[in-house]
Amino acid sequence: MPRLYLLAATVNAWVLILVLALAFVVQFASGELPCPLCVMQRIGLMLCALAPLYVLISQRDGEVTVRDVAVAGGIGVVAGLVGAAASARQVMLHILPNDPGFGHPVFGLHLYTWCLIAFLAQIAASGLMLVGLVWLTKSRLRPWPLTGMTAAALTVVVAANIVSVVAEAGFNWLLPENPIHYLLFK
Amino acid sequence: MVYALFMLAILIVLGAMWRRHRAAVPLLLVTLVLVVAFLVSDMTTPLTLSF
Repeated sequence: MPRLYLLAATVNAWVLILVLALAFVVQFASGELPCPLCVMQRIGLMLCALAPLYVLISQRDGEVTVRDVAVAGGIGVVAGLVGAAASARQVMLHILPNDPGFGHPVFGLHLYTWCLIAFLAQIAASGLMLVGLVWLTKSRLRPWPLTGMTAAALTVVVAANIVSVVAEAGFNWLLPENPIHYLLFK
Repeated sequence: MVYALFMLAILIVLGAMWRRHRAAVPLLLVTLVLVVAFLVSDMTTPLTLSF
């Protein structure tokens, strides 16, 4: 069971990292700059990714404990709620009939709608992780080999987003509501 | 710039987690509170539905 937790946490973290990477692909491939709410949703995804990483990093002590899984579950639920609030807000802004929405749809849905689904899935996954504690048994494990790579991947994605958002906002405190240019280079 | 600061805070939390610093979870909670506060304060446009 502890190994299953580690596998689930790894998959959870990588799904979130890939969603963040996909947002980058859309940003550069279609030239669509993320709006302020889009950036808030990215921040929500990053916060969510800290939940499974908490389990992976804590396991370096050689054990998956109930305490670590509980803390990670709590982080996942709270971060998921924060992200869901941002994406639900954006969905509501474009809910009126004939509203084209912000940006191009991907597989039929706008990115903020996909984000809302991702945040709700994260909350559900965190809940399942907490329920699964019933079957968690104590056992010593070797260090999980994917922990370092997963943490490094999240670090790279977050750092790349910092560069991107600084380029987009320039020296302004906030982003423009409908960004068109990278203000740092204007 | 404020968004970059939030992301920087997330990187710091990740670093603290990696080093197993006891401030990791409190820092994460502070970051979450700041993000929520910013999100709420940024909701300046009222949601109005007209039919």
